[in-house]
Amino acid sequence: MNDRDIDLKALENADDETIRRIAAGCPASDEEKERMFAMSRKIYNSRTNEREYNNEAEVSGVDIYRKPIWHKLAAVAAAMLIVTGVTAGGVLLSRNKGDHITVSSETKISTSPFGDLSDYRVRIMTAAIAPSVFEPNADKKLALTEALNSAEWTEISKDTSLPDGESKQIYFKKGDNTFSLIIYPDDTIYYNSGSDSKRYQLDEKALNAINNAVSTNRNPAISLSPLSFPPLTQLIQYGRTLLNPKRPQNLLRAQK
Amino acid sequence: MKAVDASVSFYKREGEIMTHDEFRKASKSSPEIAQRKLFDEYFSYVYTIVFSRLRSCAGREDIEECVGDIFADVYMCYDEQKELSGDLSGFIGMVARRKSSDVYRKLTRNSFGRISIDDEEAEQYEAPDNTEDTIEKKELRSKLINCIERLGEPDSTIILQKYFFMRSSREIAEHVSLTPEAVRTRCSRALKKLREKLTEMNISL
Repeated sequence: MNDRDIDLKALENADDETIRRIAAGCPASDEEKERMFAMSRKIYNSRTNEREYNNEAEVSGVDIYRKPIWHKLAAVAAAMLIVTGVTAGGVLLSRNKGDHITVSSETKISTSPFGDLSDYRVRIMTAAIAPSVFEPNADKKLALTEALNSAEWTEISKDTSLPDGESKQIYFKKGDNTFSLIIYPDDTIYYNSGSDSKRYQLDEKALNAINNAVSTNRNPAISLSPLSFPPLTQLIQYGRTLLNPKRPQNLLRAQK
Repeated sequence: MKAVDASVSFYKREGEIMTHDEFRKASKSSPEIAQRKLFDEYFSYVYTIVFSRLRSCAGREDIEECVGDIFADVYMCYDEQKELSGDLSGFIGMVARRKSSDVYRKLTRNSFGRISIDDEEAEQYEAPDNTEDTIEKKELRSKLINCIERLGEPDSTIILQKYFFMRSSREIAEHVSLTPEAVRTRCSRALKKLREKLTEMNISL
């Protein structure tokens, strides 16, 4: 549109009266009108057909369905066959019962190399409280003995060099059976029963559980009660060795 | 076309506006003839409504499709036995305006960004209270169409078809039975006259 033209945009979206006046000059040719009429008829017919199709799809009334008689007979025969099969199977099973079935009542319970530790009494000594000891509460003791029972114990050479740093000692007693475990900073464990000694490496999960049970001591350290495991003199002596972990052989000699 | 007019003449005299009941009766005897009559009677009106709404965003094909769709909607309304009352042209006009507005929204959907109503920017897009503006526009339209009509035939038709319906001189020539050159000449003169009239009325477009 150039400057000589005019913009009749003002007539857009006009009111009804204006529309009727503009419609007087409607420019659509007969050909265009025919095209639009045909289009309107086509749309109308397609919608009508669609609606009729939908109406035809609707159903009414009740159609009674009668099964053929042979269906009933076949169903009865099949039911009898199933009942016979189930009965025969049950009889056969009951005759052979016990002959081929072996029920294992054995359940493997994991234990430490020193047996099940769950019914041992436990006392713990750390460098912080030595020569005193403390008895862990029931939960801590359970966690500790379960961790030791289920751990993977790998025996290593007793001559493996001892690391620097503080160690912890755990005493076990059940009747006359006593032994101790020393947990070194390098996460190796020294087993000492007086008559026998070994050194082990444990898996990381077990070590974490043991360290958690040993290091968490909410109870104050108690003085050693007059129990015979191990004698007070040995504990005091061993408490001193904790400050110098390179001397465990002294303790062994003292215990002997 | 004559046959169609003759077939519906039993209930209509030429120039009278059809009513809902009359269309229903005619539809029962021959739907196609009744639809043809309705279409012929209201085509210009519907086409102008649609064109007026969509001229800025739609092509001719879209406009023709919209017109066809509107008439199909109207036929369907009668088929569905809907309760219709009042003026038939008012009903058709309402269907045409709604449908063309739908098409307008569909065609312009992507040209407008969307802003949340909670957004701070939403305020500046808020529709103003435009009653005054609406009245002014209506007055302007009325004056403008008066000025065009005062040009007389065929100039008023030429101006409307050229600058509102955006038809070419050749298409207008067929409609007003003139040559395209004559249409261009008349259009130029009519436009000059129209400008003078609008200037006298202090209207600038």
